[in-house]
Parts: sequence; C-alpha cells; structure tokens
Amino acid sequence: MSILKAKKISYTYPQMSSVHHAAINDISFSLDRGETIGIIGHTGSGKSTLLQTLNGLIKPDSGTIFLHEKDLWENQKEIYQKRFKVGLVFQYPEYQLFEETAYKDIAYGPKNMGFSDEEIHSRISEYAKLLGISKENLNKSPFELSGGEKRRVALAGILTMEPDILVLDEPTAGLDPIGRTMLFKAVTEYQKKTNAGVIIVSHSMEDLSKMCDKLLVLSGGKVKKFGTVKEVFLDSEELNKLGLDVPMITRVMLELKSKGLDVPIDIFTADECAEVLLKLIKRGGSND
Amino acid sequence: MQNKFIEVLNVTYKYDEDVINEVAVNNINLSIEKGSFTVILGHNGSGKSTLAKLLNGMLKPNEGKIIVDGLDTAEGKNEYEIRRRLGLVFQNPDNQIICTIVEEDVAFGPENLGIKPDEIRNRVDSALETVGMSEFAKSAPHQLSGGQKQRVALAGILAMKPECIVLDEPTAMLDPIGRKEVINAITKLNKEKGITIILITHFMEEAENADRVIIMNKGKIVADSKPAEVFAMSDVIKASGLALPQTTELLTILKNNGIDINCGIISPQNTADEIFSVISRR
Repeated sequence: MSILKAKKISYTYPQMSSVHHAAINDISFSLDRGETIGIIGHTGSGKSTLLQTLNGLIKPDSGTIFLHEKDLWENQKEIYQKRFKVGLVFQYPEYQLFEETAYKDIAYGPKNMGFSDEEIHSRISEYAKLLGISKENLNKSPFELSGGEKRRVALAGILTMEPDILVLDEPTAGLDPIGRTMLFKAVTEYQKKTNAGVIIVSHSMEDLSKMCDKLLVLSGGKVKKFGTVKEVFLDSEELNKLGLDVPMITRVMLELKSKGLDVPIDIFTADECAEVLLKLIKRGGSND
Repeated sequence: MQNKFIEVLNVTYKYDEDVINEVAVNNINLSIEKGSFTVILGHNGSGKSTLAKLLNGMLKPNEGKIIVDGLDTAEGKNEYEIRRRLGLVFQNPDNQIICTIVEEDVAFGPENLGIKPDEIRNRVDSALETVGMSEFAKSAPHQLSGGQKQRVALAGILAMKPECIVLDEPTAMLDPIGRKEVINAITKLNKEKGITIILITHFMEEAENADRVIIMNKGKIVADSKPAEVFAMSDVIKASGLALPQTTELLTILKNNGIDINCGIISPQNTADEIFSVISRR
C-alpha cells in the first residue's frame, strides 16, 4: 500500500518571486511503507521543489499528492498536522538550529505536536542514542558542536516527531566518510523500527545503490526514469545523456564488457563485483 | 635546498593550551616543493585544516617553526608578505565572497595590496579567464552555482599572484559538476601556471592526479607518498577514517584473494584496464 503518492503534479514559481528555483512538470510516483526511493538529478533539475511539495510547503499548481491515500490538500486547515507525518530534512539543516541547547532544539518539533514533557524526554533519549549524540552534547549549545554532530542534532529534531515518511535533501553533503556512515546507519535503523518510507536526494550513486529500492531520475523538472535501482542503472547511456553517472563499479563492468569480456553489468557494489571477477579470473577469462 | 617552498619543522599546535589531549597538530615535519601538487587527506578533526591555517600564519605554532618561501610565519613582520605569497581558499564559497559584482570581488585582494588600477584590471581579467569565469565578470555572485562561486574565490586569490594556493575542502559543498569544474581549475593552475598547490580534502578521487598524497590522522602524518602507493594502503586509509573508492576497494578484495594486481588505482577506466590485463595474462 502506498503511503505517499504524487499524481501528475506541476508547479511553477510566481514570476515576481525572488526565488529562482526550478519548476516541476507532471511528476508521478509512489512510495510504499518501508521503501526507500533515491532522487537523482542535477542542481536545477527541480529536486528541492519536488521535496517541498511532498510535505505541503508548496502547493502544486495542478495534480494531487496522496498521503495515506488521502489528498494532502483536502482540508487546507489540516496541512499543519500533515507536515508532522512527512518529515523534511533540508540541505545543511544545521543552519536552522536556533535553541540554547541541542536538547531544546530537538524538543521543538515534538513540543509543537503537543506531547508531554515525559514523552518528549523519552523520545529524545531514544533518538539521541540512535544517532550517537552523547548526553553531554545534548546540554551544549549547538554552536559548540562539530559539523557532523550538528547535522545529527538537526536530524534528531525530525526523527523525534516520528514521521511516517522521512524526506532527506542531500543529507551527507559536506560530511566526511565517518559522518556519512553514521547518518545512513541511523536512517536505516529508524526505518527498521518504524517501517517508514524514505526519500533521499543524493549525488552519490554509490550511496544510493546501497540505500535505495527504487530511483527517480529528474531532469528539467520532469521524471526521466522511475524504476528499481537495477532498471535505472542498467540504462547508463540515458543517464550519461543527462550528465549523470552509474556507480564507479558499474562503470568498471561496462568498460570490461566493451573490451569483449562476458560480464554482467547489473553490479553496483565492490563485493558483488569481486565475486564475479574472482570466478572469471580463476577460469582464466574464458566462459566455457 | 632552493626549491623548497614550505618547510614545517617539528610543529605542534593545540587550540586549548590547558587540555592535554587536544593536540590538533602533533610534531609534524613536512616540506613542500615549489611547483608541486600535494593532496592532504584526512577525516574531520584529523588536523588538516589546522595545518592549513598554520601554513599562512593565521595560527602560530606552539612548538616548532614554519618557513614559507624563506619567511618565518611566527614573525609578525612577515605576515603580510606570507599571505600574499600563499593564498587560502575555504570550504564554503558564500563565506568568501563579499562584493556584489564578481569582478569587484576578484579585485578586492589586489586593491588591498595597493596595486595600480591598470594592473588590477589586467590581473582581474586574466584571473577570471584562467578559472573560466570571464563571461560572469559583471554577474552578481548570488546568481552563480556553487562551483562557479568557488572558482570566483579562486580567481580572487589568483589576482594577488600567489606562488602557492592552499585549498581547504573546496569541493565539499559542491555537486559533481561543480566539483569537476573546481578540480580542473586547480589542476590547470598547477600545470600551466606552475603554482604550488596544497589541496585538503576527504575525497580520495581528487588525489589521483597529484604528485604526492599525505594522509593525516590524529594530528600526525600517517602516510606520505605517490598517489598509487598511498591508495594501495587500504589498512591505513580505513584506520584514518577515510573511505576507499569502490574501485580501489574492489582491487583490494581481489588482491586479498591472492590475485597479483595493482591496488593503487581509482578511475574506473584504469581499474578496468588493470583487471583486463590480469585476465589476459592467465
């Protein structure tokens, strides 16, 4: 059952608007419970605009967003509550930290949802643990934390609201490999616990191939492709035309194939690839 | 020797003198040759940014000495001259651009050096051309992409005619196209203009074309060699909190399974060539 569905949605920014973001045009896709969709596309392809329509920050000019199979905009007065269900983590969310302490900042969301102090406290303890935020850091000012720590505090602020759908806009931009791994691990654990649907925008094809079930390719505000990771990455020519790439390991396999080796090209991780190549090397390159 | 541009001698730096464990840079020795392209890899907190700030004298060593082009960074009178000869570019382009028009921003540095207007005009035009941003000379910086802004920041440094540019994670906030633009511009400065480059990053892919790769961890240098040799040190790389690119990881797995193969490769093309030659040899 889909928990979030976009049906033919379009949006253009008003002409007089000072915001020069890309428009989106006739976008459809659906997200199931426990599923992860990756969105790929260049800066200016409409990714950020699309994400903002999903939790009602932007109302599409046409088309419908279905949340739990109901029109998101059915009752405009309820849009505030709907936003609690679709947790949107912006790019560089740490720039939005504002409270005196990390704890208070994380508590802001659940407080607005009307939870009791005990409930808020227990949620913060749980998600701070999941994200590896120490008790000591919870009591510090966000400005005393490192970049990676701040990013995790910002994410905790969304997770404590326990959204059914978690939407992440380039969540690992600017983080080092340790920070990236920690963040992805926390998202996966949250998903396991709550069976939430997850949508991730990223430029790392390697990360997306690990995290996602499906991929949505955006270009010029339109969906160029929507399918399983395999379906999308198998069409490397189409991706190249859009200036996007397949994971590095898939590129290696494509190169080997062009050299005349009979290798599969639906390989996205180093482990899978090594397995195939070891067999091939031990057979001496022949396939008999 | 004549051709050493930077010499770092037994340098230690702590942000907080009282905290014993917080040594950001721990007894480092390093020399950088004139005209070379060095990449410093390390995770956040490894000490690499502190080192960058020590190199241009923004921070002074607690112990040891840094000599830039014959000038000691600890001496106040050298500050101005060192910063002219060694320029710094930071991670966030928005924090480095101050003017409302691109060419004015590029002119800011040379203006402060007291250069004559005609000469400034020449320098600005030539710097923008070198980084491929001439057509945006009259644009407002906020209309540019991240990669373009970062190239404007680079042009601003270039207009001061430095001999060395230190870049601290200049691509961390950019998309793949922006990253490529900036790396290409940096490579061009090194190859065509002979500018000494020190590129600090945690993307191993960006180190492939360097002359030399250094890995820092916990304030110390843990690897220092040619790129291919460093990339093959998968244990050191992982222990330093860095991630192997998929290709290098693949080659390492193959080697660990008894295949005689070179692991010090990153580009998919070269990886495929290496694998193909191994298969053909059998």
